[in-house]
Amino acid sequence: MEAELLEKLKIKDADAITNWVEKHHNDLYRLLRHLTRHTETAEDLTQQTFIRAINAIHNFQGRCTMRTWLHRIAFREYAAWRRKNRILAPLNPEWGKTDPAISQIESEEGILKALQKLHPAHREAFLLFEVQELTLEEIAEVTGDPIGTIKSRLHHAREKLKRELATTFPQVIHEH
Amino acid sequence: MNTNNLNTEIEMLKEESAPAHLKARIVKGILDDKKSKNMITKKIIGFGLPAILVGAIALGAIMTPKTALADPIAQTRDAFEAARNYHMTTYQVVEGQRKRISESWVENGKRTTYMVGEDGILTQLDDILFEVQGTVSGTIFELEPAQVAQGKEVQTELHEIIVIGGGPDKNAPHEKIEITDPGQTLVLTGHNLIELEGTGEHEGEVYTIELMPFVDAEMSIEALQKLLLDTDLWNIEPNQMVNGQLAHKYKLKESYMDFTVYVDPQTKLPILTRQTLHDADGKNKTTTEVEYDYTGSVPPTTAQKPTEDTKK
Repeated sequence: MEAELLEKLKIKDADAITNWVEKHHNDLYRLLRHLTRHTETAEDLTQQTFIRAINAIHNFQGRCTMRTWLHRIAFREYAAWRRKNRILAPLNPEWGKTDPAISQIESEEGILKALQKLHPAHREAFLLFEVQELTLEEIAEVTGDPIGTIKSRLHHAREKLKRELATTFPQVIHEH
Repeated sequence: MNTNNLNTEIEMLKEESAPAHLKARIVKGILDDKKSKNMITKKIIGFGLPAILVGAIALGAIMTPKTALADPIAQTRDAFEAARNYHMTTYQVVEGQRKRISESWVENGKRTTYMVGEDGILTQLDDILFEVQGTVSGTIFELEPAQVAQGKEVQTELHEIIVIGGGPDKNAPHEKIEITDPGQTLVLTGHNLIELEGTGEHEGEVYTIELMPFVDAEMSIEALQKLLLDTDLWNIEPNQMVNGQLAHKYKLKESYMDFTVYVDPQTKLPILTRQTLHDADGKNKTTTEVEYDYTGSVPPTTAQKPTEDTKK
C-alpha cells in the first residue's frame, strides 16, 4: 500500500498528497507544537516538513517507515528553527517578556509547564517516545543519537517531570 | 506524582491536534508550490520579533557594514571579533568597597594576567586555565574525550564513565570515579582540569554529556558569549543601569553561585560580570566583579616577572 502511495507521491498526484497529509499532519504538528511551544511556528514547520519531504520523496528508500522518515525531517526542521531562534533571541531586548510563545506558555498548566523546564534534549526524547510513541530505534533514526543516550534522557525526563509535577502542581496529586 | 499520574498527563499531550485549516494549507502549499514568500514572512513574525527589528533587518541589507548596527548577524560577528582583544580588571567587593586585585589583557584570544600588589605594582602570573576546553556548543559538551574545568557540574548521559583527574600538572595522580547510575550528577572538584573518557561497553563511541554552565567572572568573553546565546540559561532584564551605563542584564538561572552579566545593548559585548559565592551556611559571601574594556589598552611593559610565590 505504501509503495503504491509512494509512486503516486512521486508524480505529485493530488489525491495521494491529500491522503498522505491527512494521515501524518496531525502527528507531526503535535510533535512540533510541543517542541516549539508555539502554534504558528508549529504550523509553519509542519508545512515545511511536508514540502521538504515531497521534494525529496525520490530519496525515500523505505529503510524506515514513512512516519519515521517524516519525523526525521520534522525534527531537523525543528533543530534548524531552534538554532536560528537562539541566535536571534538575545539580540531582542524584549526577549522573554513579549515573545508570544513565552506568554502563551505562561498561561498553560500542568505537564506543559513542567515540560518547558526540561533540558531540550530530554524534552525531545520524552515527546518522541511517550507522545509520538516511536520506538527507541526509531528515535535514534530521527535524532541521530545512540540508543543508550536516548534511554538515559528518557529516564532523566520522566524523573524530572515527576518531581516538577509533584512540587509545582500539587493539586495534580490530589486529583488522581 | 506516581507513574500512573504521569501517564495520565501524557495522554493529555497526545490529545493535541492540528488546527482545522492546516491540512488544506499544506496540500495547497505543495500543489501550488507557493511555499517561499508566504512562509518566510510568516516565520519572522511568528518569532515574535518586534516590528522595529524586522525593519532593521530589512534596512541592514541596504546599509554599509559600518553603519548597519541593526544587522544582528554583522553585529554578532563584530562582537566575536572584539571578544578576542580586550582588557579586564578584576575587583573583590567587600562590604560595598571594591579592591582591584588583578588585570588581564587578552590579545588574539591569549590572556596574560597580572596580580595587583599592595603597592599597586603589577606582577605577571603564569597562564591560568580558566576556560572550558574541548568542543562546547551551548550546554552540550561532546566527549571525544573532552576536558572540563574545575567546579563544573557534569550531569552524565553515560551509563558508565571514568573521570580521570589530571590538569596542567601531568604528574598529578589520576583519580578514577566510576559512574554507574545513569543520570547521576557529579560535581568535579580538586583539579584544574579533568579529562573524561568513556569506557566499558561504550568504548569507542562518541558520547554526549550535559553540563551545568560553567561560569567564572574571569572567564573569556568568547566562552561567555557562547553561553549568552543560549537564552534558556538566563533571566534577561533589558535596559538596566550599571556603572552609569545602560545595559541588558543577564542573570544565570541555575548555577552554584549568583552570576550576572551586563551586556552593552549596542555592541552586544559584556561590560561587567559579577559573581557571588555563598558559604555553605549562606551567611558569608564573596563577590567578584570584572570590568571589560575594548578600546585597545595594552599590557604594561614595566610589570615584574613571575616569581615562585605568584605562580599557580
